[in-house]
Amino acid sequence: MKPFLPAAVILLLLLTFAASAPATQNARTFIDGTEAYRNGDWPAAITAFESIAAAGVNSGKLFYNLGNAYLKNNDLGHALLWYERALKRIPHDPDLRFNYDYALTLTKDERGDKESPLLHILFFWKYQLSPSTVRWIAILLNAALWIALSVFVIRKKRLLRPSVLLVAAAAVVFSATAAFNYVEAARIRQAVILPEKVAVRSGFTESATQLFVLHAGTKVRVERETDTHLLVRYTEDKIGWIRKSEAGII
Amino acid sequence: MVRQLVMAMALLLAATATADAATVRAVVDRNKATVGESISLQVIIDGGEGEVDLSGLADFKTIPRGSSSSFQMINGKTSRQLIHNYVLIPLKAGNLTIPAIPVTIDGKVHYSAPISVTVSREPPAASGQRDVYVTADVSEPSPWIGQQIVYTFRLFNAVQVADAKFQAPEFNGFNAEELENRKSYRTVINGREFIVTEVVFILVPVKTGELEIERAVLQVSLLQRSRRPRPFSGMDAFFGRGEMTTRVLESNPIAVQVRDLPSRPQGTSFSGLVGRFEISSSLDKTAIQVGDSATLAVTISGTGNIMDAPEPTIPAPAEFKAYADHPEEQIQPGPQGYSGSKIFRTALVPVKPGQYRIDPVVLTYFDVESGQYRDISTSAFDITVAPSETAATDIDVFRAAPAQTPSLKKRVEFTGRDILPLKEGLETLTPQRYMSPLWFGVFLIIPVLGFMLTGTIVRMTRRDDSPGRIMADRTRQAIKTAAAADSTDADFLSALYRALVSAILGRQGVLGTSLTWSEASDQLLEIGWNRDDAAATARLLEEIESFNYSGGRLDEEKRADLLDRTRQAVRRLTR
Repeated sequence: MKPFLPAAVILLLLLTFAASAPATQNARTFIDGTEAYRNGDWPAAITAFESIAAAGVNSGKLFYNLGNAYLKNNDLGHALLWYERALKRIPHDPDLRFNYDYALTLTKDERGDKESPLLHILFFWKYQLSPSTVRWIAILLNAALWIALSVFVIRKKRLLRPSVLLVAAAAVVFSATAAFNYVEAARIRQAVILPEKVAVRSGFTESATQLFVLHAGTKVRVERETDTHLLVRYTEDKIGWIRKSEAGII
Repeated sequence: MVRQLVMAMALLLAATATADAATVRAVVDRNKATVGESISLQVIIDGGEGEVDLSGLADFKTIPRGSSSSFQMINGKTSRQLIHNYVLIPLKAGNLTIPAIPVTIDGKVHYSAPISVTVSREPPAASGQRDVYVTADVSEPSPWIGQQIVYTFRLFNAVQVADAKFQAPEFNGFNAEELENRKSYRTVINGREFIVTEVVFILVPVKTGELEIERAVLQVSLLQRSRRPRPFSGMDAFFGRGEMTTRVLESNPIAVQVRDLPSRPQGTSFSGLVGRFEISSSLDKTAIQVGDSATLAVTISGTGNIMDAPEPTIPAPAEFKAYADHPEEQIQPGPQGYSGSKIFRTALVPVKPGQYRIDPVVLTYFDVESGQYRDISTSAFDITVAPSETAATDIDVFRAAPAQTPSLKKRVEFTGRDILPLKEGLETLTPQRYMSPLWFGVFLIIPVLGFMLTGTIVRMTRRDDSPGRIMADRTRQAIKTAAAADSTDADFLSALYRALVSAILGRQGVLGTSLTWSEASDQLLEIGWNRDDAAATARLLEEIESFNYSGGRLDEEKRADLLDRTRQAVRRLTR
């Protein structure tokens, strides 16, 4: 047994080092990026932050930093793309909301995805709470419901009490909302226009009729996708093809 | 019938022949005009009805003036004429062409002949040669933002005009108000008398930079001697007859350079007034008693946005209560813009006797002439307050809470825009945990599984408290008691009785503690025992009872026999 102990310790250390090496590299790149940002070298900051994101770091705060760097670099399209990505992860971050709202004031097109205010009133919890919060509320309500039912079974009490029914209704509503959020995230894909100006055409070729023009930062819904083009919908009545490179999927 | 049919066909043929023979002509009343002067155009369709397309007349503004038709039958031959009337206004000078006008008659397109028109520029206005013309100007071509300027549109006419239709410019970038009273007067230009009609707007620029006031358009009808040749036209001069011609007159566009106000000097409170203003004040009493009131009237007067004058802050001593009255406005729009005065009256009520001084009221406005902010102020007043003569009898004047001052709160606006800084902590690199739908489903299912497990455990661990189970327990316990070696006879017999009764009742599924031997027999028959077995068991019960009540001693053999028989019966009953 004794000869194996040092070997096991060395192996453990090697594994620990191997796991922490990319994290250390990312931290170094991140510090370089923030330093570049502080010095006004926005392209260098963008390169640093994007390399971290490309390494698989899925962080809303990192995406927020990317949005800032792009905005400072006068690239409104990419700035809003990263802000939108950050919003999916940290929707209630006050800094993010402030900068996002500011960036929106710089866009040239009106928002195309106007939702009915009635929906916002009727399904207020969906719009007021983040998907993550809705999920956890659904899980907690569901747990409370089944725990209450279990207690009643143990204590041989009637299961269908008003309080239990209320919890059950709330659990169903929040579970359904969480499920809808999953479906919405999977089915509805949105993109942000990246260049200053993009002609939305009726077909793939440059000779296809220009239907309308969108500007940087405008959010569109992706209806279909080919190898080279996206069929995007701006409003209910405005739909057309753009090149894939002209929009970033959120 | 045949005759009617033949006549109808003849009429149809005649109509067709007429349509085939349709011709189109275009006629103008003159082919020389000046820019803006109207030309009367008639499109005449002989022998049919058609649609006239004037979209090709790019050099002219076209105004439709209705149509007329006539129908004639001469020597049995019918002819029909339809005349479409238009007024053409040349839009530029030069040799213009009224192109061939397409007229669609019964699906076929007919064309009129093109017409050449020579359009010359109008002579200069100062020459006095024009019969009618318009001008527009502003009182100040480079005003400050908020400074009122006067836009004046003038119509000069040396001939009679009628049906004037005025279209004012949009005045983008200005707040505009038209003065109600339009002024009209006579003037002589180069020896020719003109009637001048003025339309005046007061404009207040609301944004800075280069603004343009577009052209104002006036369409008028001029009474002129008839230009179209008519029989006996020579008599028109004698009878003073003429005809109305339409003119469209456009003023010149005006460029206005609006300047932003300079930055305010430190420590000044700008009132928002832009123009030229004065301030004065008066106090109706300089000697009053405690509780009496003196009225301080502050008058702001001048030219500019006087209506925006804010209520001044009255620097009354702390021993005075101030009650502001509604301001009195006397503001009139005039050729120089808005001017007038605004009087703010404040009742001052002293609460303590003494000698006081009311400091001057200071107002800061922007003087458009000097291009600077100016402070103007009223004079100070000394006021003597004597004790109240009725102080002994009156209710004391208490110093109440300070009077409600008008709210000075303003909506906070951004003074600069920028984004908030980066998130620099290394926790930025911590990835967000995302709950997949699978995990969400698992978290939802776990409590359900817990509930099911709980139910199963409860079912498994729950004691059977049915009467049969209870009676079986009692039976088992009673047999155990009876089998104990140290039990007395009484205990032994009552245990056997209890065991047997519990077994019989338990088999029936009912609770109970006693049975007669006959009830026991009936019960056993009910559960399907044969008569002999039932009777034997009933006798055993009776025997146990009789030993119990007789009080006799039981020998070992008898005890073993009773116990054995009871066990056999119980075993059969609880099987």
